[in-house]
Amino acid sequence: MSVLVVTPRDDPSSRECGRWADTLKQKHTSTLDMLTTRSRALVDNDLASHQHVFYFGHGETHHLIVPGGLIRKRAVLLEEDNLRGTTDRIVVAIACWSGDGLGPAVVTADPRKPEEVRAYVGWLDDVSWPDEWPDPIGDAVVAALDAFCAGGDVAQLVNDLKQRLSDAHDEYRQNGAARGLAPDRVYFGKACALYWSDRVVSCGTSSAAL
Amino acid sequence: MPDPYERLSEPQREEAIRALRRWALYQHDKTEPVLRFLDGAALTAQDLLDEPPPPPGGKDIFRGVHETSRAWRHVLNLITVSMDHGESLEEIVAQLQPRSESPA
Repeated sequence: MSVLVVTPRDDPSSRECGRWADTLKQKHTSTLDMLTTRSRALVDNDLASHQHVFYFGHGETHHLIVPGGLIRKRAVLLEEDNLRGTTDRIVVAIACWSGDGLGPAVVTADPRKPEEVRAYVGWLDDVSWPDEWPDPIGDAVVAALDAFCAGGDVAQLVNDLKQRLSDAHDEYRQNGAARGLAPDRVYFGKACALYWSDRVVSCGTSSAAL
Repeated sequence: MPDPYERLSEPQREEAIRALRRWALYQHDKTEPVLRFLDGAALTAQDLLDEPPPPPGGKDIFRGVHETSRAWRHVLNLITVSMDHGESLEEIVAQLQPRSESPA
């Protein structure tokens, strides 16, 4: 079993996600191989030698991306074309939007594109956090993935994400003020955590495991 | 797939949007005239989505959501899902009071 962890770290929010990946890597040093890059070519190169993929960065409905900027061209790092091609691959995208587009696309059998992805976990639309204190959400994501890497299946991962992100809501409610968050920011912390919990989905084989 | 906020009734959307505009513009321009202007303005749900005001301080409202109109939709979606989980719109609006009006 080998897991490629792709972290583009292209802007503050993507770098925050990258820190979550770093924490996960510390718990599973021999299983996870980190790839911090904005290069599609490097991603393609490493995909060939890894069965599974975890992604921590920006997403769109059908692509996992580095967004374009004033002087930077948008780059697609992962999409249907390069995620297919390895037997029984599991993809987990800690990113906005891909759960309802890229996920269903890559797990669907297609005679022209064999070796579909076995299972995909992602989110239905935007996910976010209050930048003063992202830790409850990040810790929930890392804890759920930690259990998945230790032997859980995809159904358990999704249930674990939902429960732990719901618990993150409670942490914002109970400890947000003590962490210096104003009432409006406490509310947004709670609401963001609930939204992560509510909008995570999986497609493909729910009994799949690493 | 439809946005969660589309499940809100029109009166609920308008109440949420009034609270959000008030909150966001106060963060952007912490002056009482802004609040008085907003209180006197006739707003509909579409006003916010069609012509979003500037985000607070010219920065992202949240990490991870950059485009301003998307950010507004996202905030409305957050409110809707909070309501799904039992928080009333009245309670949510109370938490979005401009900070100078928040209880100590």
